[in-house]
Amino acid sequence: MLEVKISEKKHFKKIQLNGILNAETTPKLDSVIYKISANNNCPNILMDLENLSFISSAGIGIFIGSIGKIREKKGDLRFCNVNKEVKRVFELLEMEDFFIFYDSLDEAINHFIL
Amino acid sequence: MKQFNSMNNFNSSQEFISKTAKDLLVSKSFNEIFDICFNYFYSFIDNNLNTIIYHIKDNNYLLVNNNKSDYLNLDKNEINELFQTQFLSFDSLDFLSFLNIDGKSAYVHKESFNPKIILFFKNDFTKTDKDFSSYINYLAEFILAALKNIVLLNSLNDKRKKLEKNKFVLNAIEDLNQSLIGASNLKKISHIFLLTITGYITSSSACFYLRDVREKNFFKLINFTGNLTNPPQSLKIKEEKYFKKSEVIYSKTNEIKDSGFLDQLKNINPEVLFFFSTGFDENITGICTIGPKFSNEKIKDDQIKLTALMIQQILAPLKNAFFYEQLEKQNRYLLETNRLLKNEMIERKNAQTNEAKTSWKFKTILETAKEGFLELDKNNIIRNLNLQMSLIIGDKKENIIGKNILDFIDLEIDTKDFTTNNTENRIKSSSFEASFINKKNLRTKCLVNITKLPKNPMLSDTDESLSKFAMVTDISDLKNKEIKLSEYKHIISASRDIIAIISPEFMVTPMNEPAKKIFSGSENKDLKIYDFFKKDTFEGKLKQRILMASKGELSHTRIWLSPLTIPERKFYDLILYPYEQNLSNTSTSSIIMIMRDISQLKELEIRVLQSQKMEAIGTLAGGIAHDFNNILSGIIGYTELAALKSSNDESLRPYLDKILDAGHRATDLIRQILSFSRTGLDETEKRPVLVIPVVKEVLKLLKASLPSTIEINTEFEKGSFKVNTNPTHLHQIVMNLCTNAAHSMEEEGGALDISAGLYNINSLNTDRFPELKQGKYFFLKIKDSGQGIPPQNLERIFEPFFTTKPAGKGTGMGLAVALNIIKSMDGTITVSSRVNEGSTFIIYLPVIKDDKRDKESNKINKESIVGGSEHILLVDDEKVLVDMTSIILRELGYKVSAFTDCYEALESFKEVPDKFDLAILDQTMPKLTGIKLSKKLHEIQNNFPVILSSGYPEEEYKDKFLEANIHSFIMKPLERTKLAKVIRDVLEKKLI
Repeated sequence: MLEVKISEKKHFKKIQLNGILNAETTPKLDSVIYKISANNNCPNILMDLENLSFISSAGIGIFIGSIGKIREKKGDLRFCNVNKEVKRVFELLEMEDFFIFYDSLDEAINHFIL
Repeated sequence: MKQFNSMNNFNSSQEFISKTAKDLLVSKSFNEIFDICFNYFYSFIDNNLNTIIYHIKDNNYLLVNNNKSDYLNLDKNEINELFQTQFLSFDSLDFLSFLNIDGKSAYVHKESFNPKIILFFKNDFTKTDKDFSSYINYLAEFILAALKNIVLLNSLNDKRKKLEKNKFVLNAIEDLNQSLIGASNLKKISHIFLLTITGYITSSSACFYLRDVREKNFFKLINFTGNLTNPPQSLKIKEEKYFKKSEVIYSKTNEIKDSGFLDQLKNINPEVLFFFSTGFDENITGICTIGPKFSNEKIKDDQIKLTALMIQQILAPLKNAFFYEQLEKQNRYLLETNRLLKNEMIERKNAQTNEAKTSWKFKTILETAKEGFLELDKNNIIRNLNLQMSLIIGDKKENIIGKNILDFIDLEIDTKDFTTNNTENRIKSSSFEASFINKKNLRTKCLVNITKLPKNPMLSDTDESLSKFAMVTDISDLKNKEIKLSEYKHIISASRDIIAIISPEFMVTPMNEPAKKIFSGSENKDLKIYDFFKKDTFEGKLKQRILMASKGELSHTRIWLSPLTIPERKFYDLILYPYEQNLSNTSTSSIIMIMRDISQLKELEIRVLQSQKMEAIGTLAGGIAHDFNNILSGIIGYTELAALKSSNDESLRPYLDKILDAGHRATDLIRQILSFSRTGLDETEKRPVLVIPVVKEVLKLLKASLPSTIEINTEFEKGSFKVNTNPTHLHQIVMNLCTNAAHSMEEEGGALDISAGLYNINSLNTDRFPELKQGKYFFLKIKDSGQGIPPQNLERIFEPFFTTKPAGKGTGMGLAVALNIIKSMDGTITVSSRVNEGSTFIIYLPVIKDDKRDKESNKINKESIVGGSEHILLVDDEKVLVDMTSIILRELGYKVSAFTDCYEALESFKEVPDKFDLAILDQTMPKLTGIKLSKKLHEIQNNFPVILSSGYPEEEYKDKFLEANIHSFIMKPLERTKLAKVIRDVLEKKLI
């Protein structure tokens, strides 16, 4: 129910999600993010959520749970192509200012440089 | 910027107002309304009429415009009053001041419906134009309507958001539930749960602990999320009060009072803690920590409650997972057991087929073994045994089988091992010593090793007929050797010799205490023999010997060694012999080293040698001295005569005096040698003598001869101290010591301090004077500030002939004689000295009380020389002496008949005995001694006066004098004055 694709971009690793991110599917993504943040000096991750149709509390939990360590290592986790429903969840939790969102992958490529 | 309407674009003000009203009604935010109002007033009245809107919230009026959040300070009653009328328009300054608003006029509108809104228009001028007023009212209606729209819209949005959030939470709960259906892993459940609640609460971290199965008070970390670097792996809680069955208890951290528990949470810094327990099994009891949130906000109460609810939901899955894991474990264990059982089955099958083959082999081995073997049942009855065992027990096999093992064991020795150990199932084997007794009552010491036999799978559980198997080794030989060894060990440790073993690599192992004292190094360090000696010593004295001994050659030597571990050099009797005998050419052996400290023996040996040497010198010196004395007599005598004859020739006199001086000095020396070479000094000559006068007399003599650079200080205790001595001897000692002191200061000058007094030797200080008895002693301390005696000479100063003075100046006899005399007086002498600082000699002599005879002491006879005309018979084997003495006697007026041959003299005396008045006889003569000759003379004429002369002191012959009726004695060399006096004394006594 969740497909995770990782690709390497110039300044960051892009993780593309297809499907839904709920309690059942989170462990899959969690281990991917954990490995990237543990094995890189300055882990920069862009979550491309274009094809993510639903996110649950557990899904938000992954991002919240990992962002502390990523930023400690001077990296960041950012989002692009987030659809309205998913973005709404960030808004409801008042987390939309905590993360940086790009409207498109191009914008992310142009601006996600640390 | 929004394009605003302008008055100029409209035909009438009404049209402008209606357009403005339209704009107001579609406006979507407070700010938009303000902008419209501003624009309106600006265009319409060409003035800035401030619009103030209060919107009721929390029972008060919140200022909405300018993005300020300012409350209108009204109480409830005032608010209600304000809303009683639908519409107010007034320009009362009172009201403005009542509202705390600056301004000169105000227009107030209110709306009674929800939401309650107050609208002011505030202006700085007073305008009472009716049209203006109606326009304002008109506009106010629109503004209020617009405001109402917005407030309603906002509240709708809020409600929507709340609903959405609820939906999100419900989703989360549902999501969590769904994902945990069938979850059987505690770690996975806790992970999903933690992600869900951190997402929900937006908490920066969360931890999940479960009670440790083995340690009730400990909670193990199962999982955590967030930016924690080092969350505690376990938490310890002593109290159970936090937990309630089937409930989730939560508590904010700041509400927890248990500081010990809080300390453990420092690294996590949680905001809320949840304590939960399934109530079904205590093991599923845990703690979940959450917080703090990413934002600075606190976690809301409803969020906490919902989290508790979520925990409640995961309790069942946790329980399932726990049991599942237990089952898994159990299952694994069963599988493993199964596998082992299978293997065992296979092994047993194989064993059974091989058994027949091996059983014969084992039987043969057992039967021929040198060890005894026994099979016992649980009651210690012997069921079987081998040949060697029957030999140990000393009976035939068939007589032994069926008997109890204890029948053959010396029960005086503890037999518990046989009985108790074997009843304990856990102990599978044990070994111990036991004594077997045979028929003849002889004991054999044996080592017994008992093994409990494993259960035979072919026998039923109840059949324990064969339960033990014992292996018995005869160790009586070993035991004897052990005793012998222990004896040797004791001998070695009791020995005062240093015994050590040296390996071919020079490793040294001390074998007893004396060896440990020498060869003790720091622990953990290999001790090599060369670590204990200086390199030179080892290379030069030991290495070669050790190497020789390691090749099999015994080495025995006496050697001076100074091991680094002891302060002084010692003389050792050193034996090195190889540990192993019969070595081949190439092999090397360890060495047994035995060192015996024979320093004392060596010292004694040296002393004996020294004293033998001294004795020899004494005898030799005595002999030489005797002859020398005779020669001196000639020298002195003739010199005296020469002096007499040449009394007119003054130029010769000084030379003759010099000869006489030298002659006297030589006489002194000879006398000292002679008195030293005698074994003891004459006791009869001793008498109580006042000491201090003698000392003073010596000092008087000394002062005259000392240079003025030497200062003499005296300090004598008052009192008359007497010692039993010969005053001449005492004189000699003091003179010797003082002269030595003076010599030591001859070049540099200095002070000679002489003190004397009484000294008590008692139990307190007797240790310092081991050779003295306790009692009162006279001490004489002679201290100089001279050059001192170097330490290497200090020990030798009392040796005869030891002198550091140039040849001819010192005899080397002074101190030797002094010591001899002091010893004969039961006294002692001590010396301490420092080079360049001076020396101190102290004499201790026992004090006596006798006061008789002392008056005579120190009398010096100064009678003038008196001659005579009597006829003297002079006999001496030395021609020179006879001639010289004859001349002296004739000078004195006497008639002399002189002989060198005893018998000629005797013949002459026989002829006319009356012709002679006195005889002077030399004692040491070839044919007859003086004493014997004297006897012969007395046979002819009784009581004929005889003077004996000798080079040896009078004491030698004293006892014989009476017997031989010798009237007097004169010591050689014969001096004129002395001779004259002795002759007169004897002749005058005879006349009386």
